[in-house]
Amino acid sequence: MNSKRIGIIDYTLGNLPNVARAVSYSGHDPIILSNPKNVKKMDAIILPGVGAFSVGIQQLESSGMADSLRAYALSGMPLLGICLGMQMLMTSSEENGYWDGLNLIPGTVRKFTDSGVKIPQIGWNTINPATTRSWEKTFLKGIEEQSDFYFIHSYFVKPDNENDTLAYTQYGTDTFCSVISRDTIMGCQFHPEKSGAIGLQIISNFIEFFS
Amino acid sequence: MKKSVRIIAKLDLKGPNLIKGLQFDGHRVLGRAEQFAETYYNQGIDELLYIDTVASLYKRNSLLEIITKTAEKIFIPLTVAGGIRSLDDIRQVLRAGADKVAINTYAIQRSEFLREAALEFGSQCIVLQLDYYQQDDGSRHVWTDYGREPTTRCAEGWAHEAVDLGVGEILLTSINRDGMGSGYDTNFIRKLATSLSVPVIACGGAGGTEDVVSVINQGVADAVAAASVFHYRYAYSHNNPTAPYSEAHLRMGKHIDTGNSDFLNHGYGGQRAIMVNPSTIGEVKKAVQQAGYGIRRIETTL
Repeated sequence: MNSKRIGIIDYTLGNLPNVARAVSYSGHDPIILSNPKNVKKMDAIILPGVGAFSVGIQQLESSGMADSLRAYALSGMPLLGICLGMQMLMTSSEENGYWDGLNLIPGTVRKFTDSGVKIPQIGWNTINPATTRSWEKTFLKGIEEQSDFYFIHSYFVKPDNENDTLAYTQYGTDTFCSVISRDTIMGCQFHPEKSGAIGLQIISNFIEFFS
Repeated sequence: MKKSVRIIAKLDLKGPNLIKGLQFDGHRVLGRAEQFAETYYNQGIDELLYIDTVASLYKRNSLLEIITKTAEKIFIPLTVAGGIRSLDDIRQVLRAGADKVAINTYAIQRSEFLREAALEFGSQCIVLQLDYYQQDDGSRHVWTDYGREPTTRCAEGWAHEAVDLGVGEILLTSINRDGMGSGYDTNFIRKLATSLSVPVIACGGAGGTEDVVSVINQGVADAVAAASVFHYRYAYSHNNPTAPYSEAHLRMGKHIDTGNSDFLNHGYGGQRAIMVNPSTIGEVKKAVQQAGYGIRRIETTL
């Protein structure tokens, strides 16, 4: 297996070391990136994320990283957003006001409905296949339906095009998009780097998907 | 939607070793911490909790090396507690591989620290470690320094204050029940779990699978932590050698008190018997699932 260079975007938020360790575990080279110029040298990019949307997107925009990521993804290179990283792929977010996202996938980010469940959702939850798409030719290949993944979030994405949803998850009264994919742009709301062996499989699927 | 609960293994550490006591006292050494952590991960535990039992006492934080070793092989959430006194301490622990930190002693000394920590790292990262002791008159007070120092703070009031300051979870441990296997402090856990907006992790008192089910059923706990129930199931004297205190910073002097290692050397040694019915992680999860709750399936491919 050829080891690939996997850029992990450092924008001061996020659990970079754990994402990097998961990439190493799959036999590839994690490269922590804070210089936007290095983005195009990577075989694939992971945009991790923990924290507030406004802080994250402002860091990406002010450093020039946002432009590099847009150019990278639109040129057909693989980009995976995790948690907040997934949310930032969207057009906009309603977290603490209104914020523009990277606008790589049309859609919004909204908060869980207050239905008596605890917010944030912290814990394991299942992913279910979207009715319109099979997982077979995607980075979820080999993952069993209703597998459990580790979630920790108060907001979720709502893509404009139903066809961009690859998997959905239920929490309280909300049924939300937990895995998204459009062309070479992918995102998962859960933390694959914290979801045991099947989480690692998703990361390794993502990296090897385009080879 | 079924309510989903997490099963957490709590590992109390002294230096590089896993220890376990009764009511936060009389600790036995059970083996190397990261060896237990790896076993628990492979057996399907949902989350791990490392508690440095002497960090606040010695004003140090010696867990970084163990956290790093653990994070290389273990890909589930890891919470670390013990001796956190600054934002920089938190940053170091997170960089080493932890996902969350739990704070007790320093938060009692300066409660604003919880707010600062939540603002800097996000609420999802900051857990209040609330160790409490129930007096004969029924009142429950917070204790700090891993059960060494009593305070006059009311446990319930402190939990609410900490949530207002921004913590994202409460690790609620009954000192009276620690290691005793007599069941969780269910009514009190229920009171907090139903009145707080953040998840409550029930800790202290698991004697077997039925206690775990009961604290979820009656105590409405969002997550359940257990130590003795798992430790004594997975501890075997022949393959859990204690780690030597090789690092200078782990030593307190020439003669190192590693704790009571009779258990390791002679099986169930010492004066006190084990107070719990040891259970596998699979047994506990099966019982919770049969009681009608959502639980992460254990991967059979492992």
